[in-house]
Amino acid sequence: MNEAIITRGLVKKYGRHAALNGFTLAVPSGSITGLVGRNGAGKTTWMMTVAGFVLPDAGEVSILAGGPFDARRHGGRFTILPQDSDLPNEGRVRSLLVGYAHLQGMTRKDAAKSADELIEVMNLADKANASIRSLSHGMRKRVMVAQAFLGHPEVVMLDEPLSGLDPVEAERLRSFLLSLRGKTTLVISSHQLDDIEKLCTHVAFVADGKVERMETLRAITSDSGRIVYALKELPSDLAALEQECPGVRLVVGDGEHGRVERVDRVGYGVLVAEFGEGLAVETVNAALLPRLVPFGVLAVTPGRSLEEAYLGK
Amino acid sequence: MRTIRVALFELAAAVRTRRAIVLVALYLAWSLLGMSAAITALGKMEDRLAEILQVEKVEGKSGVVSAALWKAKPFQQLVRSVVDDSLIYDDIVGKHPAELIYAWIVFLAVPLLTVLVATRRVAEEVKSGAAKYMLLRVTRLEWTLGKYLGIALMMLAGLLVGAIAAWIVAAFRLSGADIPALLPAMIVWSVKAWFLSLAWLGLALGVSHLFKSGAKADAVAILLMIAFSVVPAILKDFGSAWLGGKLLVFVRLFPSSVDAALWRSSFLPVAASATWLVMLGLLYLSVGHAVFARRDVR
Repeated sequence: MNEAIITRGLVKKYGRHAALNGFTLAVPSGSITGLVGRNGAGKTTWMMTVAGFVLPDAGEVSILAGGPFDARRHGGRFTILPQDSDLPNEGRVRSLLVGYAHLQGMTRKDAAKSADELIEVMNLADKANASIRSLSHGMRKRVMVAQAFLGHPEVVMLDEPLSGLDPVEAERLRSFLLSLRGKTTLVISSHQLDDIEKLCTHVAFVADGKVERMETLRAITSDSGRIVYALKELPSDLAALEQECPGVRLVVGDGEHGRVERVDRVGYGVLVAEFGEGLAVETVNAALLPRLVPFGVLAVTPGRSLEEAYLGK
Repeated sequence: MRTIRVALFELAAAVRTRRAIVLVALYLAWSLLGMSAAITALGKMEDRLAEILQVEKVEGKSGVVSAALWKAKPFQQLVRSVVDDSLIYDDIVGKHPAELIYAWIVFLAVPLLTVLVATRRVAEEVKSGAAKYMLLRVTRLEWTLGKYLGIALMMLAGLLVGAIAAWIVAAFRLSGADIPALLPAMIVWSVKAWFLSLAWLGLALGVSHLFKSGAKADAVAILLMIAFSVVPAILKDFGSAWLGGKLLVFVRLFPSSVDAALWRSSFLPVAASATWLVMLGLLYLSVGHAVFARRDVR
């Protein structure tokens, strides 16, 4: 797979603090890559550096195999939803979007078409002629997201795209982003790990200005050799079950195991099956599930959640 | 091409924010008030002159006496000594006083109005983050030049409206058969003032590239404007002694040292001065841009 963005050894220092400290990351084309990390880990600085807003002290950036960001080469092909960046207050939604699209080289006609499409996608049709100043925070956010998709760019970076959106609009945006999977390379930075898990194909853990781990979501969440079962009632004789499924250890969950919080909260039990690398998830599940059915199986979740994987649970 | 698109975007934004209307209104108010005040002063002077000369006052509109006075040889000699440049004197001596009053008003207003209008344009967009949405689509240089061009066009519009307003005031309040000819003359002065404004615009916008705070950019630009007005005068008066004659070429880096040639009527000196002012504006702008091109936009 080709890489849409490659950064090698990026360094950016503010005084003695290194916001980027050898940040190396290759974003596969067509992937949706999530950046996960604590505040100040370097996610936003990396995005700003790739977009050319922040000039690195050292390291290399290449976007779409065309070197560092240059509006003449990458304008309209690469865009970003920057964090904490206001749109011009005086602008009106549609005219602003048409203006931006026109600036990135589209004809007035194509610019208008693209703007109208995105206004529809972002559910802003009734606000198309409203001034930015008059919009709520969430609506402004949707205009900001819309500008990032003008002209069907090949690569889009989104810094906290879902923050500030109401649940309905957040779900609409998730669906839109998922519809782009495989067609547009997306990089999403978010503290909402549920969102990253729902949307992303790849995940990079970022800490102290560099990438600690970068893999597919599947590799990160299902490499732990375990299955979490949510049961209506817990079996009393776990040892007997373990004997029937050699190589599997059964542990009663304490509410921190697996993505079954909803079930756990209403008083159902959580049973965690742990096993070694020699056993496949499918094999263990085929052996255990029939034996657990009498106890009322409510959910089966293989592997760990992204949150558990990130927090090292 | 994209620079022109940025310029049009800037113009459209200026219209939306009513910044363009404020600018035109400022030029309009300055022209109307300045012209009106000058004509009132002219009328009082004429009345006083009539008293001194013990002749009958001209009732109604002003200007007849001034026009006659302006053509009188002794008065022309007085003006020649005040102007201190025989070439400029020769060019302005035949002109209507109202035209010269307008030229003086507009040349006086242009530096301050330009600085007030332009100094925050880059700084505030960088601060709010709005600049990022532009810089994703155009280069920093295209953005800088587009802004310069957009504001320059806005100022031209303001100056032209100011000229028309000043002419209307003159037409209502002055006598004389040559009033209609004043309009094209005032428009020419507005265009000359526009070239002067391009130098100050370069300075204001250049300063705007250095800061993230509009207030700081304003303060620095106004201080520089004052310094750029005062320093050439000091250098002209004392520079020969301090720096030697050859170093006085340094004076040419300030707009106020070259704008005098705009008072000429002949094409060549005016064109040379206008070209130099544009070059100065671009020089100041390029200094600001050089810093901007190497700084983070966060």
